[in-house]
Amino acid sequence: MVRTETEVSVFVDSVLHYFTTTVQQVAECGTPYLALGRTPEISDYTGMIRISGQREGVVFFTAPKSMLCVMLMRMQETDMSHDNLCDLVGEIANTLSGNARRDFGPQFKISVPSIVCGREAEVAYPANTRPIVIPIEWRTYRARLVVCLN
Amino acid sequence: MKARSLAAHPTQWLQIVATTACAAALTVLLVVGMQRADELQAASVALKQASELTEQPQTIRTELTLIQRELESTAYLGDSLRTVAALRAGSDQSFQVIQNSLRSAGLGDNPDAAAALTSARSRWKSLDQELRQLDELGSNGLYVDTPSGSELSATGRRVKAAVDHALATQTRNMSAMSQALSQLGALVQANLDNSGHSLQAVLVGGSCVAILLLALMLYYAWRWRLSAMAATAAERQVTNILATVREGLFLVGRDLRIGEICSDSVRHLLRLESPAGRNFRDVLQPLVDEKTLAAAMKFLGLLWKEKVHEDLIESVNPLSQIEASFSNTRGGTEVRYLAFSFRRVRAVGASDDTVLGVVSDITDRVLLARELEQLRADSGSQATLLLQLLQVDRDQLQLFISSADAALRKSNAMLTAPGIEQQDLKNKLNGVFRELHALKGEAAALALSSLAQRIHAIEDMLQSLRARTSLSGNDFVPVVVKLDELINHMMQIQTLQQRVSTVRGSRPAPAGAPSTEVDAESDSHRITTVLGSSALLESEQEEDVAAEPKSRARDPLVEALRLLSQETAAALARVVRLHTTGLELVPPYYAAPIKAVCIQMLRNAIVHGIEPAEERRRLGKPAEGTVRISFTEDSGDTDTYRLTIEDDGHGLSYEHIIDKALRLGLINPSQAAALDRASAYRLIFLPGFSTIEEISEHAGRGVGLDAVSTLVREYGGRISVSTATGRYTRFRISLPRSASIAASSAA
Repeated sequence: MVRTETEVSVFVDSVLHYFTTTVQQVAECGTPYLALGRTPEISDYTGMIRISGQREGVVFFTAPKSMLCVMLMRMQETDMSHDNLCDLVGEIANTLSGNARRDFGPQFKISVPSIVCGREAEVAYPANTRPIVIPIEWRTYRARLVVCLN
Repeated sequence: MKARSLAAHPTQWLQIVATTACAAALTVLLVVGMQRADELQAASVALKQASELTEQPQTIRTELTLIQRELESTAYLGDSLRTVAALRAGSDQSFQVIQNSLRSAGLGDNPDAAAALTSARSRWKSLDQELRQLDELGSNGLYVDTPSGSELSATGRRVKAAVDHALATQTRNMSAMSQALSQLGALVQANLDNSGHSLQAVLVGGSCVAILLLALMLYYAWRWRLSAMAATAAERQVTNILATVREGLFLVGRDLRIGEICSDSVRHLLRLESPAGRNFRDVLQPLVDEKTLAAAMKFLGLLWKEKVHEDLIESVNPLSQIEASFSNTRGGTEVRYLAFSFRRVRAVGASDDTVLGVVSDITDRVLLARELEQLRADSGSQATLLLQLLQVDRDQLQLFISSADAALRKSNAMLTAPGIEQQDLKNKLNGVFRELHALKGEAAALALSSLAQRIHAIEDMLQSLRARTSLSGNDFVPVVVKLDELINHMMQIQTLQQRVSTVRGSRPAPAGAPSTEVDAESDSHRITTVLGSSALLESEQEEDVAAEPKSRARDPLVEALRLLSQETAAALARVVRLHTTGLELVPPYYAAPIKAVCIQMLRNAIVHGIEPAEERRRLGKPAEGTVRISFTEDSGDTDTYRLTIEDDGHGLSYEHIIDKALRLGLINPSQAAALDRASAYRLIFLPGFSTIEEISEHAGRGVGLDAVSTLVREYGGRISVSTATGRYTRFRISLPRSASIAASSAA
């Protein structure tokens, strides 16, 4: 499925580009893997978009609070409040949404980015799919980008 | 060509001729008008002079009368005489002016005018002669003093006589002179009138021509404005088209320069800031390989040839579909499929000819075609898969499904493990490669060709990643996607297997099923294949088959190896006999690794070891090659199992191994020189090492022995190889007998 490869690559590139331009420090992509038999681990803050139309599914970026705080510091922010951390993951989700809109065209209907807080949050995945998890390594931290499209 | 261009614009030529004619006519009229004006001016001057001259005799008479009276009163005459002299000189000059003016006015040849002028001048000459005498006498010594007062002297009396004479002459001639001058004046006036009328006509004509010229100019200006508006509208339309059209349109000249005008899409499609003026070869170079670039340049060269039929050569257009990689704004790479087509634009002059290039993005079309092809293949392969499953033993298939599940999970687990350093990524790549390669071997052993082909396609991908000098996690995205597809395919197999089981459960096993063909006594099978024809399975001791218990005869591993040797030999046109011994004694905890090792080593033996039948005959060997696999307890060490795989092929070639290792860069020449045979043979276990030049479904990737070596190490075993050139190759694998050791090692 060349399309899936392209789609996943677009989302991965979007996140890496966000780090390079906005956080101004390069992040690296770990080896992607399938979430087999279990749902992907959710971290402290998660920015998510839902996709419908030609493809259906969910794409989200989930990161630990400590990582997001350091990201904010790199961005010269001093406000490490809950709201600001939510805004940060929301902005990343918005970037994912914008790039998907630009690259995939109107066949993809993309929802307004939503923010999920807490590791216990549950994400609804489309049936008969296996999410692809892409670790995003930055400094000593690890976030995850999860792409699940049917 | 030129004549055609002239004929193409007759109205333009008409315009030029009309404008030129009008301009010429206007010029002539202006010249004539100026001439008439000069004549008019000259005639006016002549008339004025003649009119003044008509007055002149009366003035002279007045002066002479004044002189007469001054003489009578013995007054001073100097002033009067100077006045007369001035009048004389003015009159002479006037006659000269009249003569010149008459010539300029075109009356120089007029006899009446000449006669009148001559008459007037001759009359004046006679008076002028008298006046000259008066002037010569002067004004001095005109009077003498006498006692009775001042009286005229002799000079005075001569002056008086001259004055009297002049007055008489004036009286006699001046009437005729006035008449002649009046006649001349009338002639000049008539000429003046004629010139005036003529000038008026010229002016009217000139005005008409000027108006005509102005009208022409206004008409041309109107036409030009219409043309300009049409050109502007056309230009606007072209601009709109070029800005809107999705295809990239551009012109390429003979020098391969891209023209100034091209559609906006060119910039987007070719990721160029300003394509105008760029060399098309330079634009193409980063998008295609050298070979395609050279072919494209040759193709463009063909387009310039007069006798080449464009439609015919379109089929050899090397740019009809290319895969181009572009860096995107997010720092990643984007693959797009582009299609170029070319058409020669034949301009008026051959030197102006260009080639119209059209580039379009056909990524969606290509991907859709691939998906459709995949869907078609899937629907076709589902029927094939079902047929394949029907021929596979249920237990073997169940074992395979479990084994495949474990292999896929293990592959995924390797990818899940942290580590993004180059060595980590290479280890992950090699690990996944080994697992999938072993799985492919098992699939091939069960004749599940559709699955084997899928894994082979993933191996192609892994092979290209292995060839890279640097890896990133992003490179594994396609691998994971393919892994996901493979899991889906395995699920499909499982579903079909369940359906097949349901069907089989209601029916007895078909007669002549593969299991009945096994010679369990000797555990040996003979597979005969001639030049790729279908393999035949012959039992060496057919009479013993029926006597053997079914459970032994249906040993899944032996059956799988039999199928594998059958398939591989058929594919490679080899004749192979497989002997197996003791495989039924394999303890359960070794079932999976022994199976994986046997499959890999059997394939290797057939692909690398056994020669084709013809070659074997030439070497004096039996046409039928033999592979022996035995599993025994080690006679010297009761705590060890020994698995031996031996073929009677051409053995390992030390020189060939060294040569290939040097070419792969695994060793350098100095290391090669120092390498003994035992060390050289160890090279065959390195990842990526293969002595086969071309990759096939059966061998060539250099994964098999690496996978075997890794597996044996995982179980705490050892592997040794012995060979004799032209005779045999034997692999001996020792494995610890203790289950606990094996289990802990594998864990």
